[in-house]
Amino acid sequence: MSCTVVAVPILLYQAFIGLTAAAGIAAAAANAANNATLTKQDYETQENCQTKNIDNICTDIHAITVNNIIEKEFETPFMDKGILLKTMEEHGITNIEESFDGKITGNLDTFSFLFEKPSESFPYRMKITCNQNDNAKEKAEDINSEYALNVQEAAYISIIEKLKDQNMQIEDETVQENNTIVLTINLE
Amino acid sequence: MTKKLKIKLLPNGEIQMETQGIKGKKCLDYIDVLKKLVDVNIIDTKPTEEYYETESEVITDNSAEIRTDF
Repeated sequence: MSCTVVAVPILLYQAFIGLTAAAGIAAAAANAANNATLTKQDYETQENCQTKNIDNICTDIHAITVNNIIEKEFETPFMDKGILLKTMEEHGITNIEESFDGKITGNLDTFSFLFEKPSESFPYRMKITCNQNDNAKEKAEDINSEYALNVQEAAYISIIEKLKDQNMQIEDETVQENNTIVLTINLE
Repeated sequence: MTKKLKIKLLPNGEIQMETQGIKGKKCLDYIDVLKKLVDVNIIDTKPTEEYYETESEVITDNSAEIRTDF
């Protein structure tokens, strides 16, 4: 071989590559440690807030809760809404909705999801609300892995279609044990 | 050696491309080929031994075929 090129599809936030899915999510979870376990106190605060004069806007109130429900936020490499929606559906997340400001929500069993993109240049952040006994980190890792597989699939389809357009021949196509797809293209 | 592109699509979304049988800096031309096949950002390129080689030349005269490898 003469040179090796490493690339990241634009469907993935490139600064995220190099971390394993688990490491990336763990780092983000550490950053999100200031998300307090929501308590009945918060519930009461929310309720009091709602009874205030309509001109007084309540701020810094976390999602309403009762005991044993937590909210955790994770950074993700998810850049593409279409791939994200596909991933959510395939994972079994239901009631998927997109708000006017681009936030995407959904539910699965005891998990509630909120995906929010700070800007076009940055990936979605994932907020998971669930019971304290549920494993939000594991759920986030599962969704992360499935999104990456969908990116792999999208890249594969793009390459196959464009090779056909350019009359380039695939000499060989294999799938390795670790699910890496290897395409060998004859240039002569 | 036959000129080939080997494209690996990893399950974490990363893409690796290797050129084979392409000597010298010409292998870098195939970065543009990859970009045309799929929308990517290039994050690393690593030259290998072939990168530092040149193409072999074949010179013929009336009587003999002379192959010169540099």
